[in-house]
Amino acid sequence: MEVDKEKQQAAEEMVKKNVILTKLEDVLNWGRGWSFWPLSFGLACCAIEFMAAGGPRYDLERFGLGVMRPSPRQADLMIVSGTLTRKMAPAVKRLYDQMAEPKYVLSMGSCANSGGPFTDSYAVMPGVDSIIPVDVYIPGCPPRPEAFFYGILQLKQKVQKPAKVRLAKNGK
Amino acid sequence: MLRTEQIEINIGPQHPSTHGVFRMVVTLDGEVVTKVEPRVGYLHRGLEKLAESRTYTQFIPYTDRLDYLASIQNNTGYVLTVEKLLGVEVPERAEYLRIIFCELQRIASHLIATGCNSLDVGGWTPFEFCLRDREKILDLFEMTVGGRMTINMTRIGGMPEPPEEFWPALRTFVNEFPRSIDEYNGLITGNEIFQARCKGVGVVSQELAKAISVTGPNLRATGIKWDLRKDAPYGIYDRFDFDVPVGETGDSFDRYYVRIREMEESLKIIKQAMKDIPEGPNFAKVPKVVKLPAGEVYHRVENPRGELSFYLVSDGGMKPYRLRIRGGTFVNIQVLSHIVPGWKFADLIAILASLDIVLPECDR
Amino acid sequence: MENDILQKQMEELALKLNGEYEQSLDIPVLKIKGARISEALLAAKNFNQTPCEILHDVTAVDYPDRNEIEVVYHLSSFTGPYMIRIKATIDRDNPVIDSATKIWAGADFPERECFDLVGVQFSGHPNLKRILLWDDFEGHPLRKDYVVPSIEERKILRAVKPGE
Repeated sequence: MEVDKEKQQAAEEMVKKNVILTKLEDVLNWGRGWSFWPLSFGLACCAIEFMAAGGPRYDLERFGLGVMRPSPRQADLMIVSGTLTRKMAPAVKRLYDQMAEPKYVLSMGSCANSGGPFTDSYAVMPGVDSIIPVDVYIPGCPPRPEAFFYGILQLKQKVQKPAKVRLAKNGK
Repeated sequence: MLRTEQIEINIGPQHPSTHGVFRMVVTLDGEVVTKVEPRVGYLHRGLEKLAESRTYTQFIPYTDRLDYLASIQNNTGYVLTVEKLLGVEVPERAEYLRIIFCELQRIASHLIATGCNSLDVGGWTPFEFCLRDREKILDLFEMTVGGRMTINMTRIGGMPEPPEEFWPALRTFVNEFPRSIDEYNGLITGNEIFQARCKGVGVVSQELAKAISVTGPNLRATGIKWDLRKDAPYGIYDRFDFDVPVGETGDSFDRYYVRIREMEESLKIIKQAMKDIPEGPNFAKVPKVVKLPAGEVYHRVENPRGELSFYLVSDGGMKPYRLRIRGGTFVNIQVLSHIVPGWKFADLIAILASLDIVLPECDR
Repeated sequence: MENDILQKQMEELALKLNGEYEQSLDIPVLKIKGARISEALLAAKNFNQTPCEILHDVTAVDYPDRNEIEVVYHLSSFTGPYMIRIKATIDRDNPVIDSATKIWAGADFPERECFDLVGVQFSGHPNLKRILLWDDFEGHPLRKDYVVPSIEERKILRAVKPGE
């Protein structure tokens, strides 16, 4: 009797240390947030800051974005970095449609947010959110790599704790 | 015999190797390319029309975004055009500062060109090395004006004054950089695979270069020794002693190697400028609201990608009547449809990487 | 010295082609009617001692008050630092001019851009299509009477023509 109880207690201790009980959705969100696969898609100047963020000084891979996929079928994060012109817009919409759910869009730089300094030009789309839904906007012209990382971390929080972000935004 | 057909495929505008939103319609016969048609315009932002509704000073940040890897040189080219029509005499110290920053920017731009050239041919590592060195130069820019890439530094009438800690940092960079060039020579230039993929590939002849008006390192690789800084100097470039590296055959390897040697020459210019820079004011007296007299002016500068020139027509007001920007990439890209047919598909990527295109300069 | 020879040759060319010669800052300028542009370009390319064998730029400027469009050619050389400017005036309601692609293959893209943004028709051009804007775009933006569409109009995704 005594030995069985001790063994049961030991087993319970082991379970407490090594097993977590949670919802499947939370686990999947945790995985998605830590390993985005960005689509290698740079339009203009902000793309160079994105490349510099991936360089040796500001390392992007420590946030999980090391695997850059050239094909939209294999990517889940589209980082629109640079000016979206009206000539390029159908191509961007097609790329977005080709990505599989769940997919996220990060609008990097003021040109992608709202047209930027070119907003009154005849050839520029005033913001990428005219054609696709955006999750996080990163201001800057171009945003520093540190600002870009802050945006990535905000997106990670949105993915991993959607209820918390909804509460902050809508109050419920 | 088997019936074969030519296949037409589309590369871009979203593609890892096209250096931006560039599209090519390529006709292939098996693996051999028979026709290439470059399609540009996916980054056309209408800068020339925007210039007509911005004042002369307000337009300087827009010139940054023309060729984002050579921001200071675009700024300087535009400002020199405006100053030419305005008739402003810029003080000596500002001229020396312009030279130092322009040559630093040239090194930074060639670093990216070299890194991306190696990246497209298959070597990842030199790209990271080039980015590491470029960060040191961006630190120097950040120390002076706060911006890393789109810098907006040159002003009509002078240059901003760098802080105290700029000069020791510049000296450190100038002393350490030759070691990096030796690293690149070891990693890329002497690399057998790189040489096999680039030597003899995509030869641009001197006649073709003259017919298409190719400029910049792409022209010097063909053997024609033409560099605006030596042959039609602007600013105070005629006071400096430097060589103009030329290639021999005009193939992709020559285009790459001319850039490496140009970085060494830029370093020489920076050393001489650091030694000779005088004390004094760094701004000329220019009215707060710049109004140009009626007339037209044309000025060209030597950018890392070719000759950037501005044609300004003024009607006497605060905004230009017409500003025309001629970028080196827009003209150089026409060379593609002449030199690629006959090579294999993988060589197309190697040739495109060696041409060093940057799309905003092409599309404006 | 070079500049004097160049100036003299430009003045002679102006007389021959019924045009005007003037000096704008440091560049000699030749103003002619659009119909004689091919002769002017060929003559400038083959100048004695100061040949202008490189076509540096082709652009067009709209002057609605004079009812004219000026097509501006800048020529330079790889043998000396000189440059010249040739301005050819054409009628704004019927802007047609000979293409320079027979003389320089590199006039291809700049002429297509002039057609795209200002509406100048280059006769003899092998492929005169829009280059910087999409094929269905209406209007020529660099004309002074072009009205930029409002933000609401620009937010609409454009329809892609099949075969683009």
